[in-house]
Amino acid sequence: MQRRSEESGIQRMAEIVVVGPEGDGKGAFLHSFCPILHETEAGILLGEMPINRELVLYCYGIGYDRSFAWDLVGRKMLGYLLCFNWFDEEAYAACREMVTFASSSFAAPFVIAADHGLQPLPVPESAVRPHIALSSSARFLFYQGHKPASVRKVVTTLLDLLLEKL
Amino acid sequence: MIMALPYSTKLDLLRALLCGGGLQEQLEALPPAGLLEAHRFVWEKTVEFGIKMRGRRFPQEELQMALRARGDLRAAKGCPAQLRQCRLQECAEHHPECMREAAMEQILAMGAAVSEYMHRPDAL
Repeated sequence: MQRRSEESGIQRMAEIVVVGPEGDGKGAFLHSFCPILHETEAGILLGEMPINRELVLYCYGIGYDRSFAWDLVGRKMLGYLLCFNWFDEEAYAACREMVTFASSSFAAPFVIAADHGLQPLPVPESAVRPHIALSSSARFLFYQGHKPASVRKVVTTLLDLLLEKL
Repeated sequence: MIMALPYSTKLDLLRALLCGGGLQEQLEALPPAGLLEAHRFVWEKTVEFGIKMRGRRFPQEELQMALRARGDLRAAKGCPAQLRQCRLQECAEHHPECMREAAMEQILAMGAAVSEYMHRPDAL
């Protein structure tokens, strides 16, 4: 996708969607890698990550609901991230439902990220690092939502997956 | 009989493997074709975790032989298809109940192996 840039003409846009629990967790998540963050009137968070003058990565942060304009964004998004708290059964069930919906509706690669917060990993780290493949276009990994470096690893996992698909 | 395992099911199976419990409940809900795919997925993850946790000491062939021995013992006890070796794929259509029991037994054995790799990574 592209739009007019103020300075150099065409600006390219890449879009990814971050699906996570309601609350301020998504804001912190997006802020870990997007220097610019907006909130729309509809309550959708929009993070901007300028790569250079001609390319911007846009990241939509939404909750576990299908009222998001998936029909508009779904087909053009590069990929998506689905986040949940590993120890929260309700969050897991909601995330699982979104996995079913999104994976059956869109072909884009995706990453499922389980936040273990301040608690230790439930299994030895070496067993689950760097990630676990669910297929050639889906990955699972653990992260810690309060650590920006850990969040960025989730994002780079998706970007690596996109590069592998080229 | 091929069925792509939904991602939500893969996620459930992976979660059960990592939690060390709840695998049986996930398997019971699957149709025969799904159970075959679950068998394949859990085998892949078992090998992956085994290699990550034990490296060169991961006894992949031993595990494979142990699973085969379970199947063969089952076949010897009374295979409805009169086979000497248990063949899950072949029996999914004509003997789905026996295939279900055999597949579940093997998947649960793999789950136990994963638990062993996670909690006793240095054991031989």
